[in-house]
Amino acid sequence: MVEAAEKDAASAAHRLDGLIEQSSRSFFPGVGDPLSAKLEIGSHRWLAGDREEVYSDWLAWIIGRQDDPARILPLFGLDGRPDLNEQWAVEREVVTPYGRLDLLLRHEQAGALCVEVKTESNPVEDQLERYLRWLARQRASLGLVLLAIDLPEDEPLPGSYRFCAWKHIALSLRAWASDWLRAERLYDAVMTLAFCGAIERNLLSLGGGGLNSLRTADYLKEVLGDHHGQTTI
Amino acid sequence: MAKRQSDSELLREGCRSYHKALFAVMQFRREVQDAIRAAVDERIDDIAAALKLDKAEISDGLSPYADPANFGQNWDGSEAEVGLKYPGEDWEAKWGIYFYFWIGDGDDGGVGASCWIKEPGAAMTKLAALNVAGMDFDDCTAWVWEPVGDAADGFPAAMRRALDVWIDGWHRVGGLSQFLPSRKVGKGQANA
Repeated sequence: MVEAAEKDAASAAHRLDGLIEQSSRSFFPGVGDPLSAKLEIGSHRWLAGDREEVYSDWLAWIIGRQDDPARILPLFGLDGRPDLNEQWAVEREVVTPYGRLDLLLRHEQAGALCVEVKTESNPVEDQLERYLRWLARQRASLGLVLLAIDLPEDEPLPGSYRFCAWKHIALSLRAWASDWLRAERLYDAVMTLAFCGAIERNLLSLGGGGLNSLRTADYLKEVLGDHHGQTTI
Repeated sequence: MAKRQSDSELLREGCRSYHKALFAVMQFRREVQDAIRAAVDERIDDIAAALKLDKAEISDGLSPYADPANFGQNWDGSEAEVGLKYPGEDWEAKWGIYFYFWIGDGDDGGVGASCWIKEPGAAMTKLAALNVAGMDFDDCTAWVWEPVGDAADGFPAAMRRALDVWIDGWHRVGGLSQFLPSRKVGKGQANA
């Protein structure tokens, strides 16, 4: 199996440049795909995988830049609400009697959505249950989302809260960035793409060579296969 | 007291390639689950219609599994399975459908589709009476299994054959839903 994986990885490594080029041309002309070697994000200490607060801050900023309120809930894997007109308000580190919430999104019509952000650590015991108790006291609750890299296989899916993978966030934000690039909102697009690059390289461990070329090629094929989540392209 | 051998060939080779072997296993799981997902997606309308279950519920609710899932010390290595299952919540499961790859000692690897019902009532009897070629049963489980073989498209082709038989069987018996206990589907489903 190791030999077969190495053969497949060598073949994937050959295809990688083409996939990155295709993604750059299709979605990010003039900027390039965030997985291209042009974006050297790995050496930026601010974006190290264990800096959960940085990821929360940056994600909150990007959400604040989205002027289409219908695209916020699908970002976290929730059903879209095309009827929403008002903008969302995003708050960071909201202090409550039940603990400090990483991200709190509020919408006048839709209600409050709490997002617990994890990049390396796991929620501490009762943390999510406490947040759920707080949400239950709000006027309108959209529930709680645990944003993390992965749920372990064979772990029961949570019943009381949603799980959202960072991979889903990265794929969705690529679509936002592509749209902003077309709309000539260059700073928004490039900042968002850099964030995607940080997620993909530092949290999802994509990029690099060797056997990992297989995973990176698979990811880019997913990008190109229009699994863009919320793409409007 | 016998001294534990500390210079085994496996130990020496593992010191060179453990990380690659682990990657190969994990990549294999991912590729198997992707291939099964693609085959199921292709036939999801037929699967849902044959089972008389909600298409979106099955499609969204299918979750990856592996047996063994972790590196437990008590696994004897005689067989292993990787696939997708629905419903994902199995701590109080009363039934489940599985699309999977299975391999065991003495058998070449193959793919299958199965349905397990804790209290099957007349389900297995009714299915058995139909004599669906390729469908097997025990007290609580009905399954179809197809060897992958060596052909280039062996895996997806075998999965398609297995699904053909499985869909036909459930279609002829009038669906799975009639045999299921009333259930509550959890709100939380993974989206990734």
